[in-house]
Amino acid sequence: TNLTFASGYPQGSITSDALAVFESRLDELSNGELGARVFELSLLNLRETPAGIRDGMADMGVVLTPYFPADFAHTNMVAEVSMSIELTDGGSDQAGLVYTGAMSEFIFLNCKECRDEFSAQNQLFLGSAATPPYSLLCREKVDSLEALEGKNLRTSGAQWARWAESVGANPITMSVNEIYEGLSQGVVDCSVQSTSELSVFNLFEVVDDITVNYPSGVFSGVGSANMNLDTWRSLTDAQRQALLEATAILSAEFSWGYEKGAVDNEATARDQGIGITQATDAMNADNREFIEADLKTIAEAYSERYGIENAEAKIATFRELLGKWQGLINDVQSSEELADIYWKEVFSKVDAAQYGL
Amino acid sequence: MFAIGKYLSKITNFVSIIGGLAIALMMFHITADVAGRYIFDSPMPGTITVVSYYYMSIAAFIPLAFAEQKDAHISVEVITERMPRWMQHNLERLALLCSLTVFGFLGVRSFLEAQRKFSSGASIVQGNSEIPIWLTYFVLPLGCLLMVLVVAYKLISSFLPQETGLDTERAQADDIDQQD
Amino acid sequence: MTDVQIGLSGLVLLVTLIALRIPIGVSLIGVSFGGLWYLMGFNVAWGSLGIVPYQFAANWVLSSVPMFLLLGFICYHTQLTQGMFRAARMWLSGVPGGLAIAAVFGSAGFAAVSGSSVACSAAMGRIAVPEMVKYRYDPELATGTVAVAGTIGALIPPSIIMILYGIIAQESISGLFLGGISAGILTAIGYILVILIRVKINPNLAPDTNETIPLSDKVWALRDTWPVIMIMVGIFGGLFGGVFTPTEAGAVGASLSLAVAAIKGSLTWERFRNAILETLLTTSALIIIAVGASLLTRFLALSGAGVYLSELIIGMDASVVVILLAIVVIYILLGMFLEPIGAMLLTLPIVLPIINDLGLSLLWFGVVLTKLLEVGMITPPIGMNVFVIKSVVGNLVSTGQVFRGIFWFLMMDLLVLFVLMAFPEVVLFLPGLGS
Ligand code: NA
Ligand code: NA
Repeated sequence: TNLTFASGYPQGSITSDALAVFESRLDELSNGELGARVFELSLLNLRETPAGIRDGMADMGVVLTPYFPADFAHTNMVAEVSMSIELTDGGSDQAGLVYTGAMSEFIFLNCKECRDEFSAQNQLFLGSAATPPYSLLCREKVDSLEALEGKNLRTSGAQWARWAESVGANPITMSVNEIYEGLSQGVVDCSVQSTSELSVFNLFEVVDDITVNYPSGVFSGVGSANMNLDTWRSLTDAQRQALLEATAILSAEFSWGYEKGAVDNEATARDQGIGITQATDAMNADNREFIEADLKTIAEAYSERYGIENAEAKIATFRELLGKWQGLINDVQSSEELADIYWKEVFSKVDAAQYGL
Repeated sequence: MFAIGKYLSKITNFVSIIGGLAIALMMFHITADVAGRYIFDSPMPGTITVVSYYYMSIAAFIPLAFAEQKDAHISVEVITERMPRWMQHNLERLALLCSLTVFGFLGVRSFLEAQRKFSSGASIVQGNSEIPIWLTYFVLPLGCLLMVLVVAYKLISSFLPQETGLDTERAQADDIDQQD
Repeated sequence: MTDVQIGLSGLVLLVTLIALRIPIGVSLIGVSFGGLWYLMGFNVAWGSLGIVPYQFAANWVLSSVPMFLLLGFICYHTQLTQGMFRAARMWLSGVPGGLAIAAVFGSAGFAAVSGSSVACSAAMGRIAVPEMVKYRYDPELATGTVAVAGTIGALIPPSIIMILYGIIAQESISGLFLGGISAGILTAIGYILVILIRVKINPNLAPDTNETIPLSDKVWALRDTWPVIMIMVGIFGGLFGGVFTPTEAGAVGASLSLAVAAIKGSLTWERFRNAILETLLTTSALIIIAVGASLLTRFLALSGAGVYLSELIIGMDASVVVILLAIVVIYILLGMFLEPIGAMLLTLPIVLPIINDLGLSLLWFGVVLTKLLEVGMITPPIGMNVFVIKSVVGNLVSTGQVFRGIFWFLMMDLLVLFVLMAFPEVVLFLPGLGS
């Protein structure tokens, strides 16, 4: 069977490389029974993907859940607490890899509501992915709370918008296609994104200084391999098992690619004379204060808007997982090592003869 | 028949007012957002979402029938203009039939989608605010419905001798020599 | 039939329907729907109809199109640009096709503030065509000029196509932008040459004033150019001063033109209303075509026809020149049917590695590709710029006439492409200075 896979990311992107590995490993693991035919942006874009999978335009695809707040409320709630990673012992270290593990475990094994939300869209979750911690990619140095005041910050999620307001900056929404021009002409002063996105959106030319891993938080509302339920059900147990193994690899490749991108880009940035600034103690202290308070805001907002029950307890469960994963991910050195951890700790525990059937 | 045509024209003219509002508001809203951001350090919340989902969907789909009524939908006449009159007439009918089918399908499909979005309460988060957008999914089926009505009416009228009664005059499309 | 054959048959059917005068949007949607149905089953076709049209239209960056249209319509209805054209008419008297040349300059100006060629034609169409027709210019020349001059919009920065290419190919966007400037200027020069030569050969295409105008009158005529100058200063200043983005430029420009019209005293409720209603008609007529074009891209993607065409090149064991020629042919073929971004996404996965293997500059190729894709905007049967012009000028010309009007410009485009490809320095000169 040849599965059509719609990616809303362009050719040559980090996702692109991850999907190439997925394609070849799936073929291997299924003994040639399953293939993936990847369409990069030519079949479905990110906004069309969940509906496209639902209606069978593609068998699989990358779904960014925060684009659909009402449809995937539970997943979005735990994705939105990502800044809380700063409150844990490990802090920003390999935060995207940690978050991917915790998120996958939470959805696969702990959160029935999350899975129900996916099946309501006629699809099922087969692994997550996350970016490295968000940084300030700026036109000029931001090295104090005072420097943030009145700045126009391009933000892409509610948590960062609230953070921007808390420091007296203006959260600006801008489509990804406009970030380059926006920074180049000075419509925005900084873009709040991970450093891996310097190359994803080709921003080296328009960024002059980076305040690294500040305010932190990762983008993690990602179903890296969501699959049409009917297609999933039409497969044999063995094929589903192979698919789970392959999507564990995809989750690892996806997140590892972003992690590696961040490391490489920071080196490139240094070479190009882009300033690398660390947040001061005062900035970090203020940040942690905001994050603590924001956790409550998130729980309240989600229970009020989407009727999520026991929101605080669910967030607490998730944060425990986050702590556990911080212990599991210790200076991982390769995507293969990462895939093994994901497989051993989460994906292997999913029963291919039961899940989604 | 003439009366029905008049009536249809009234409806499409009325919805074109809604479309016109969307265009005008789009201009003012974006300008206000720019001014707010640059002068007052306070951009208008939700601009991108409101512009994309509300103004754009209304401006794109509500006037479909209005454009049909004014014969503003674009086609290529290079080959047909050399054909005999009766053949051109029948091709016009074929074109109407094709439009009827396509917009009929699109209308039904988009209505089903809109119902789904309505029941899930589709929304978008911009900045820290959440803006409901399910309502805007109904614009497309509404636009298609009006389109189907106008096209069906034109198709039926094409077999009848009377005037259609549709207001086909375009807003000053041919006033080029009058100005100056 | 193989999938590829289905895809190609779909294209044949599309051409047939369009030739039979079925509205273009309807033809595109119908063929794509039928094609997806045949290829992937009813559910996929049915699904796509529910997803693509709405998501396509509900798009922030697309909002620049109605806003640039509105800018053009407001300028026209409140007569803001007339003074500029009268002055141009006087100062360029004696220059064959002076007003058409002025329109090319105008488009190049809009090109510097808009990111796409459709937005650029949208703004210029209603401003320039009626003025030229008023002075008895041949309608085919008048509309053809503005349709092709719009393509400069994607070459001169900002450019949506170049940003996307830069992201995909990991090339410097500012480098591409610099390279685009030479390509844009060369294109503009080419168009001006076409106008000069054609009008020289056949002066009836653009009758001259045939009168000598005293200098004092000419200077006096400049007095009426202030509205245009104010609007231009506002848009350029705001864009380069970091006040707004290219997407927002249309809306700000429209507001600005409204304000200038109010100052000039030519703003009436009636005129404002007409500008809005015309924008509405045009927007809707254009977006339904673009929706169809977007569906066609999905159909061709799933059929593998685009990949098939580009894979033909890989199979070739030929010289660089032949391979480049094949690439040109393929993009011109695809450009007949697909919009630039769709054509780019379908083919780049195959074409980029080829360019890389040949050891050619990816920056240079990005500029050439943009030019190639822009040629597709004016070629039949699906030429978005042509539709924009047809749509904004109404019943003044037929779609066929606009297509006829672009013929000699199209020949010039091929010549410009040849120059860009044969002399890569033309493209790489400015980026070289920059780095
Ligand atoms: Na441009
Ligand atoms: Na074309």
